[in-house]
Amino acid sequence: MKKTKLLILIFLITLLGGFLRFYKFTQNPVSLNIDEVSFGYDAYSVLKTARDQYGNFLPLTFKSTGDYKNPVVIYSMIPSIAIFGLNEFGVRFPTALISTLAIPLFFFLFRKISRNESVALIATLFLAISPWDIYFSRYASDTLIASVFIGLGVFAFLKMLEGGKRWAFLSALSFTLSAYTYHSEKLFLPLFYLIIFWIYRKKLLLLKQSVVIFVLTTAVLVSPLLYLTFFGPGMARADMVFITNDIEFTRNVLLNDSGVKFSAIANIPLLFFFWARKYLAYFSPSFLFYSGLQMTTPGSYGLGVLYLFEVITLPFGIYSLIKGRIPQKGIISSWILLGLIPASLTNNEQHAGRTIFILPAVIILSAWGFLEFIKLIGRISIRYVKYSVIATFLILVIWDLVHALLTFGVYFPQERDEDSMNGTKEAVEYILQNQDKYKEVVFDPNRGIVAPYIVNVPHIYILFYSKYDPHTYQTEVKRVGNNSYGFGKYTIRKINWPQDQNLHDTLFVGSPWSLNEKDVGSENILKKIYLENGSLALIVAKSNN
Amino acid sequence: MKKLKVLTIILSLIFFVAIRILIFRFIPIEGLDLSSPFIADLLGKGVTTPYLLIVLSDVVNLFLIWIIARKFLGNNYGFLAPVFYAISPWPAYLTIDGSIFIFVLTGTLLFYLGIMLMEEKRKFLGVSLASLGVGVMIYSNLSMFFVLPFLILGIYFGKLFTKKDCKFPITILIILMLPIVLLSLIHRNNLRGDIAKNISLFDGVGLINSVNTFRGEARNVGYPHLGILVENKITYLGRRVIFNALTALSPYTYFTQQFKLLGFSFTPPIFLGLLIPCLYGLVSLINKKHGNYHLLWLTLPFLIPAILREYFPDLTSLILILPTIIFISAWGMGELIRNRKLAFIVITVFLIFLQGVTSIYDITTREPIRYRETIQANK
Repeated sequence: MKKTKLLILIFLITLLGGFLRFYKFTQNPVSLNIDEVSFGYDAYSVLKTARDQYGNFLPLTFKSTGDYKNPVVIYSMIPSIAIFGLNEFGVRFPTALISTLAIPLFFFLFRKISRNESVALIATLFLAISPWDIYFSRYASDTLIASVFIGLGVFAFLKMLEGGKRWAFLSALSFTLSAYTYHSEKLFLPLFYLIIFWIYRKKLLLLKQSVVIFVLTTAVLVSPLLYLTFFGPGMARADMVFITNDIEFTRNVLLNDSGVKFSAIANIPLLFFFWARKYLAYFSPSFLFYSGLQMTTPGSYGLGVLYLFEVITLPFGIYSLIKGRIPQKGIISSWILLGLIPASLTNNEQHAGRTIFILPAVIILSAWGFLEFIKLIGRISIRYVKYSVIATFLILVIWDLVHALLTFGVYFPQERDEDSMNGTKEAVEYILQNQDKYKEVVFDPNRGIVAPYIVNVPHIYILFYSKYDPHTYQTEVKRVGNNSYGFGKYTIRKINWPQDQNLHDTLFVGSPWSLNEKDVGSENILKKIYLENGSLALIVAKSNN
Repeated sequence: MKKLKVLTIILSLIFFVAIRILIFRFIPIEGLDLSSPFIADLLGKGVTTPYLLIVLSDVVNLFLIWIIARKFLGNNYGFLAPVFYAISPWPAYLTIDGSIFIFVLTGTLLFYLGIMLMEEKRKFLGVSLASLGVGVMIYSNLSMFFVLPFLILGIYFGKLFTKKDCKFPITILIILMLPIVLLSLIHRNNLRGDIAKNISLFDGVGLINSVNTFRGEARNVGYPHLGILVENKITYLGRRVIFNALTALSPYTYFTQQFKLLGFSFTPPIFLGLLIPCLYGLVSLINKKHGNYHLLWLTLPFLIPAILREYFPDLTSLILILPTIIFISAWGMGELIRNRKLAFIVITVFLIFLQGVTSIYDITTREPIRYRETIQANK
């Protein structure tokens, strides 16, 4: 294909991808979630004071809300917040931009892996419209940024194999940056290195200088991370999410260790088979094609990480992989199979964010399969069969894309806004406008429409939307008690209305579970905050006195 | 090699007996699922399938799989298929539970053996066994009526037999089906009841709720027509059928405990270790077609009974696909041995052994507790 024509096509695809990522991205998802607010405030704090919210100087790991976040996404947000301010735009802009710029860059990755320009173009288009990629591009997403680094790392590695020492450095840098961006990569990369070094061992033996540069660069850059992981707070995150803490495992498999004999020995193989189940569940149609992104209520058909029409293209791609038609099949297979290991070792069901870095490899399979499918249709000699197949496929594609648009634009904001803590911003803005009238503001962190099982972190929303001075927050005394936390006039704790109503000059924010409308009384209710679907999420009330 | 073969067979037979005795002894599911055959339902007779018949069918299935495997895989590795059946917990749980699908499975195996004998030009024996198999299937379970046309179409499009060869079997088939068809016309109410029992795909509140919820949300934002076009019963059912079919073809359905056997068990239908030879067998079949490759395609219609259920996957009716998985696994294991992939063989054997021991331990300790808790929860 002519270079000009190719560039125009890539540009148009990038435009499309950019539109799908940027269009109303500050309004959908409807609210900044806890992670985004936390990223944003830490970035703001570093911008203002070169320290995080806890006063640590330019940290390589951010304590945040106790989950010790990785630094790259926070540091990448600093210029954006400096220019656009501490708001939804400033927080989400870097991820959306990186994701959009990745589209044309990944064309070169796809072309390098597939050695086929048509497949690379199709793959680039699939990436631009990928629901998996779009979903995480519209949040401030460390997982997505890490996946871009992985993709760039693979591209640079393949260039290194062609003989280019600078590519060795770039590859090591990209891969290492991914480990500084998200946790899954810390486990994935060592395994991936082992496999790709084994696959390409013959070539690498002839490129000793490049290998040395790669290894040395990795060793130097990754050593602080290793130190933090094994001797610092890095393990805290792993402890929190490791598979042994899975409720289903402890309750239904081990039966809360019901005193059976030899259970300590028997539990190890049970854990292994439990892990195997979680690993294989990533290949389930539910995750891949139906509800993997969890954009609609559980039990309904929302959006999987892939489109439903890829039910046809993906098997063709896998078939081609088995038949050995796809070059670099070792990299693709190991990328996907090893990429699922870190996420499967956690205590959640399938997590689309933790596995997004395998997306480029999956897309190549799907794109290749699409091409094979087109070739197969071309070989059908009976006209009516050929046109029927084309028509059916086209109808499926169009239906799928429209369904995706409806899911993103209509169902998701209405059904899952509670997950993004929708309503908290409105509550905080009300507090900020009226707090001068009160001595204390009490915010109950527990909320939920069905039951108060969602635990919010309201203090970080207060810090964010008030643009609370980071230096003041770092240095002022915090009130840390039994299940309560406070700073300034704000206290985060469970509300007990029968007692709390007698406090003086106090403003309360809580869900209807803690601030029952009948108990509080209409005279004390100042504001009611609703979700997109009309459910009452939060109540702002004042004390009787 | 011969000693190893004999040892493997003996160990698998010991496991075959042991797991059934242990489930019988420790988990009180014996005969819980004894249902009446379709013919009894049609006649309105409250006759349940004799428990002993189910247990006997289980043993006969082992024997039939062995015979089919010898033809399908040859004498050298044919023994692997009955070994894999013997060590699979799936038929063990369903047998002790008294599921009629163990008996229906006998019918499907007889049918396949009959087809294979007909291909070998042993017409009389082949037709007899195939007819017996069809009889067992259609007289035991209504959903087999949906399977049968696809089997016949498969045989027709696969050009397994000439038109002349087909005349006699088709005549027998018509004779077999005639009583059932006549009884269905006479006892329509009973037929409706059985249809409702076996085909629940179109039932369920979830269908209407989902469609209505999405349409309502689309209407709220000003896209009512788009909502109706995209979200309706047809698209929902279409997605449902595709979802059920895909789940039926997913490894995690069979090799993990994702969908609990009988609603409570942590034992997987098939041990995880067999996934390796199964995948290797599939890849091998794609790369170099086996002589009886077409017969594996013919087993796909047996997914239909499970796909027609609302709550999927129904591991009880899906047992009809077990022989296919076993044959592919046995073929794959044979290929692993032929290609001397020692590491894969060792990992397979180790995983099977580990999971076998873990399962035995679990059945005697935690499975009874899980069963009791499930019963309590369902109350």
